[in-house]
Amino acid sequence: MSEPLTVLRGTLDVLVLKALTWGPMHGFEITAWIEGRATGNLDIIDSALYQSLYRLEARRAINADWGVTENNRRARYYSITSVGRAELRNETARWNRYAETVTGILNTPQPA
Amino acid sequence: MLPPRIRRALRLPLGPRRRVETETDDEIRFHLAARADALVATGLTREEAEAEALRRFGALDEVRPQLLAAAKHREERLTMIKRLDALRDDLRYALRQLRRSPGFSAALALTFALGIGANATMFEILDRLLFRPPAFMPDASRVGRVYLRSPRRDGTERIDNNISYLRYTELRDHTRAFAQTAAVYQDDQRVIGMSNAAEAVSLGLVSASFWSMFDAPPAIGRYFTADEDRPPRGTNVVVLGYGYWQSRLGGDPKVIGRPLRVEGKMYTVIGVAPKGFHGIWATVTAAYVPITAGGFDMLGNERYHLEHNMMWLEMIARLKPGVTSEAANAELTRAFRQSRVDAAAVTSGSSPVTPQSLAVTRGEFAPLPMDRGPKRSASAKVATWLAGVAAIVLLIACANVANLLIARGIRRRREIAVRVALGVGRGRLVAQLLTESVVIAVLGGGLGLALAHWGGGAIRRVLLPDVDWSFVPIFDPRVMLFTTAVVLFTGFLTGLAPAVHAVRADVNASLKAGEREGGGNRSRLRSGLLVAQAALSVVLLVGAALFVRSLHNVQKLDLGWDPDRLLHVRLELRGTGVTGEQERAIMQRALDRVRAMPGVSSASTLVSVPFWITWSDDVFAPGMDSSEHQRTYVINPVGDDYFRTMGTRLLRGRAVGSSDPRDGPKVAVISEAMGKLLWKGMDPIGQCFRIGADTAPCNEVVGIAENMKFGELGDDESMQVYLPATQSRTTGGIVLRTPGDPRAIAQPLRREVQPLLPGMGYASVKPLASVLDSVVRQWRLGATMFTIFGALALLLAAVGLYGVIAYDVAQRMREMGVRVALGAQAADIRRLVLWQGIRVTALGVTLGAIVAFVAVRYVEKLLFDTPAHDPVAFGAAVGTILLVAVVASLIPARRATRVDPVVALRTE
Repeated sequence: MSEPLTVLRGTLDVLVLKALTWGPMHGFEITAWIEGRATGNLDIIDSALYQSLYRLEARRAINADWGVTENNRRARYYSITSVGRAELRNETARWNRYAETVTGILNTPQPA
Repeated sequence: MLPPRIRRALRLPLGPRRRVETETDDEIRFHLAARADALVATGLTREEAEAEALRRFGALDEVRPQLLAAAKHREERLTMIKRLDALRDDLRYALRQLRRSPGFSAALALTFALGIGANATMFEILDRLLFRPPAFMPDASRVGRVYLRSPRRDGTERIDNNISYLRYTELRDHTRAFAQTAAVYQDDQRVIGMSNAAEAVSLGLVSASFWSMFDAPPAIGRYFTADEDRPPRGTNVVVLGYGYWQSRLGGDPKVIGRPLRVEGKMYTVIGVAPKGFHGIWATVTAAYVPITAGGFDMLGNERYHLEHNMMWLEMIARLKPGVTSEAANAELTRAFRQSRVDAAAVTSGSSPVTPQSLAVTRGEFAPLPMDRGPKRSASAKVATWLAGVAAIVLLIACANVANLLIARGIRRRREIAVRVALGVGRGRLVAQLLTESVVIAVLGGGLGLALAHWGGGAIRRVLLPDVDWSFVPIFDPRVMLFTTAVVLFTGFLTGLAPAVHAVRADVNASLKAGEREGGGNRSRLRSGLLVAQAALSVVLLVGAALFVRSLHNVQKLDLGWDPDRLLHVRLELRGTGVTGEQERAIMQRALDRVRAMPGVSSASTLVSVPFWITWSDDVFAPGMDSSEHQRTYVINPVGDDYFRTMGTRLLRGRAVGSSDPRDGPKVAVISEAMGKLLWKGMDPIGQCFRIGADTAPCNEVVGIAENMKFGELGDDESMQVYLPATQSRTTGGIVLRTPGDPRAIAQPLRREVQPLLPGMGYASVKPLASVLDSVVRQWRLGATMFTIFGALALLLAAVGLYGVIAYDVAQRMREMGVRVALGAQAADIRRLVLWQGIRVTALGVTLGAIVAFVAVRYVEKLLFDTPAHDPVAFGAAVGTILLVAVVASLIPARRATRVDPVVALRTE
């Protein structure tokens, strides 16, 4: 298994938004959701996730509300807003275009 | 399954900063616990799991402050967004309310526009008169004008801002309070330019130090230096004003070094002042020359810098840091006293200054604007009062709008109660209602600014005709700032009462009651506003009545001459090198031409002109006690036809004029009052008096003329001496009477006379009515503006009263119906409604009359021949407003009498 990849700041924001399209979650649920899909390929420091959450909240891409978990613990639940959905759409499209372009160039066959 | 989301029931009693900290810490703690739980589930021990959770989170002592900072930033942003959202909602809500009743909203905005427009206009005027510092002058509040107070021979005090060059140098050299001093003089009829392009413009004669008072680097070239400004004769250099440079010389940068003819002498252009530079004056100055160069060339006296009796220039000065104006006054007083003592010592034949005279000799350092100094004009005082009046109009407008908003608030009571019941906080509700009145005020403010700019222009020109208003921008930043402040103040002041009134209402009662019952209890607040409106209106109307009566008294005043249809022609021969004899010949030729012109019914030469040019001298009569007869005797050498032209009646004897032979017996006509003063009961005709000194040759009185108002309208002492023009060496100008509008022939007249003048000579023509205009201005101004503002106030008060009573009647229709059903007659109903309006008004009128009675003491000095407690003025004001109150109540009263009891009761 290769080394996990470092996640860029802006990329983490999109991942968080994507996670929240599944429904409101608290911070750890979001981490777990991303880790579950990265299957060990991404190295995310947990505090960076909260930085990302606060950033998104400040620009009203997500909302936060205190709630109670199944274990009766108080947790801060995040949900995506319409602003956040729009941002996710745009960023996803951008990411795909970027990745396709870079992939296309890198996969150009060697000259004979 | 979604976790249950519940709102936090309790808000921790912590400040927002502390709350954010605790919450963030809570969140971190929760995360670490959740992570550890998850790791335990994969088989780690509790200890290992907790350590791993911490590791994954990052170094806590490092990331925790970062997270706290991010959280705080987040909270700030969100709070701001929330406020902006609330504001946007309020604005949207307010606009929706306004759109719902456009007529009502327009009426409110218009009410504000009148009040705000009046205030913006008056602010602009007062700002020019009193506050605005000269452009480019740093720290202008430390710069002031020097005034000198000294006793006249008759014991009254004279205050001079015009002083001699010699006195200026003495005051400059013998005071230490000032960091800078400058001598300045602006003359508005100096001829600049070559032959055809020659024109009379404003010329500034300033000391070299003048430039250092400003932070205004020249547009091109340089200013003159102290070396170029030395008495007796400074260097002939000239600095052009930017406007003159642009309009007459096309803004040509190569103008530096070129010659320019100024009052007949050649000057070299050395620089151009920057755009917008006006020195210390409100008017445009075309060019500036060193005061010692201009003084030498233009004053007609090469010893101008050595003589105390040539009082022409003004001294301005900047206080040294830390020096108070009181200290400057003391120094100026000391220096001025010394200067007077020294002057008396070196002047031959003059007696030493008496200690009594010295005691009342004082210097004074006053603010730069003339109208803030000891010689402020009566017009400025009136303008100050008018600014106060404008403020009152605005207050009335506020009261009016507030009252109408309250009335509507009552109608909206149910709606507001519903909102309160739905959990809208009262603070938010007040904010919403305030937003509404502020929005109206903003609309009114915009409208008011337009009013002030387009409508206020006329007022500005009347109030300050000497100021060049052409460079007033549409959006003057100072006026905009003032107006914005007024708009916000107005909006909040107006909105507060209705908002509080609406929010205070009992929710339960409002929800249960129908709309009908809402207005049953009349609001004390609304009645209070009505009383205040009526009171303020009375004050304004009393002011208007007093000024109207003053103006009326001024206009029916017998001046002893008829100012309408008179023109004065001045021949400017300075700088032409013309001698006395030649001047006399030119004058005669000009007079002949003027007389021959069509549209001139009579003309004469004269020297002294009422309210404009005064030549006065001492008069001595044999056996007369000189101290008892110290007066200002106006000496006026006149030509034939003088009395007929001026419209002054000759009471007895004969006239004098150019028909009297030059070497014949010396004769004179005197005014009636002068004859009475000098010869008591005796017949003045045949008596003899001397002019200038008691050794001068004797003049025999040959005629008595009616008294003339010459220098002051209220002045009853009319001491006039008319001499034959042939027997005086002084030549003056020409006065002529026209059958029609004198302005129509002013230009042809100038063209007719101009060719007679050599080289730099210049003829100027002025209607004498315009001279009188500036004298009458303060009363005309007061009468016009008080009346406009008073009428405005009256209108607003009437609308306010009508609105409130009509609304009340509408609310009480059922009550009226019951009354009618119980047998009340139409007259009873009418009396009931009328009485309601009159009672409120009468209370306001009484209060207003009391306020006016006290306040008029302060305007007494501004009135003419009108007692401040003039019963006619008070009666008229009180009567007018009561009448208006009756009329305003009559319409709702009639509506009340038309109530059909069946209909009124059935609507239940």
